[in-house]
Amino acid sequence: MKDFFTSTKFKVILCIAALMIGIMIYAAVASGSAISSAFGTILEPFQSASQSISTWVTTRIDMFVNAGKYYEENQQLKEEIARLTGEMADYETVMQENEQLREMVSLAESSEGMEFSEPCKVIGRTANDVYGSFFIDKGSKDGIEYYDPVVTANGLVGFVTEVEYTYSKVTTILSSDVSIGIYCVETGETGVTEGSYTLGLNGKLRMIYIPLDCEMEAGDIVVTSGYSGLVPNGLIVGTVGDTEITASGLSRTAVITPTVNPDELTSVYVIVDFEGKGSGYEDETSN
Amino acid sequence: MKLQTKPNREGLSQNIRTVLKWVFYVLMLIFFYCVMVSGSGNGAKALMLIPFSTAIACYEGEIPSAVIGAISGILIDMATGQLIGFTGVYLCLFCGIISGMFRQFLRKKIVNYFALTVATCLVYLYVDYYFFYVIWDYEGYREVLKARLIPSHLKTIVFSPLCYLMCLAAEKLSTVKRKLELEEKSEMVDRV
Repeated sequence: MKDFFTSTKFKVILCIAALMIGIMIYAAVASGSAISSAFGTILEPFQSASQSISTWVTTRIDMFVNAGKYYEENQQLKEEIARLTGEMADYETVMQENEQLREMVSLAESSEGMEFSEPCKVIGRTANDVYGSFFIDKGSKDGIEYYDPVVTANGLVGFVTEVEYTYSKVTTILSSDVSIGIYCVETGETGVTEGSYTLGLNGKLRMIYIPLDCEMEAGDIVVTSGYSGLVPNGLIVGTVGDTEITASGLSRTAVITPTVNPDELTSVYVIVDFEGKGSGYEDETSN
Repeated sequence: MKLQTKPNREGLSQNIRTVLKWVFYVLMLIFFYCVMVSGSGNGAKALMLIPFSTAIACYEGEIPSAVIGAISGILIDMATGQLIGFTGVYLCLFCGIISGMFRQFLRKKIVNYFALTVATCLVYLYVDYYFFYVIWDYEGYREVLKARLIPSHLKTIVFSPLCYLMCLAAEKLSTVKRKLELEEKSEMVDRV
């Protein structure tokens, strides 16, 4: 073995390792890595096919395993439809109230100026990531840019944090690397999101810097404030859970349950442009 | 009478078999990468590229093993969202050394392979945990160890013998065995 460590082969291995260290340093200092981009471009079709197969197999197994459960659900849904048909009479009233609420939180105005990408398919997920980050099949060739918000019909999912030519990586709002301004629709109290591993494992995040005298209650809806210029105003983030006073005693925190579970997503939309994009406080301070 | 060596298997030449073996290795690397990034985001996923690259190191030379280790490492880094090259450096060195150990003084037995794979996984678990969680001291990082990292490496270790068996089969199928035969009554041979 001593001979091995003095041999040319071992020196060659050390050279390869040095190359790897060089790649690692380059990846650390550059925003994107040519190596990962090249590998990713080659692997993207395989990844996409693999995810499709995985989804197909999971769906079929689920159909066989849970056939009885689905039958019961079907019966319940029929009853539900009958009940909902009766409630249709109240639909117009509810719609008017909904419209008033939308006006109140400026959702209608903010969504007018939004430009969405084509539907993006989830082609892969980051292995063992607590925060559920994933890859989508749209990249810079589709107009996707760094930090573009990613949404579904249910609300905000996260942000694009890596953009390659044919695919992108999405970091979810559960991540401790993501913090955005949010406010409670019902009470108007503002705060900032914060992720942690503990909460991420349970699919939740935290709202911090809430005033001590807050009136938020469990079940209240929180939406984006849009102050940063990274995300439009009024996108639904989640619902409020338990609140508690921080250790310093200066403010409160609330556990937020996002309306979107990233582990179950199969397609998302990227907001490629919106009114006020990039016009947040960062620009003002830099000027 | 004369001793003569003859290829045991007819058909493909040694070179073609070697090429097919490497094509198999590359396809398996892609397959294991796809397994890591596919399916639901829930739960821990096995990092099968680690045992596969150590299994290749059992049967290949030091430099090819180091290269395969480096590529596997980059794929793991891509799949787990880590700094590209981090696992590449680690597996490059480990696979090169493992290959050297099998060439110098270890027999190609599944027990030896398993012991080295477990050692590789445990050291990687510690290195990964330390550099990506402990030094940043984010809230709840210890829970990641219990909920994700340890289950992931346990799955990796449990399924690692499959990688060895795959590489063993690839090695056997790609090697043209030669056996000694007695040549008798040949007119071409001068007998004393």
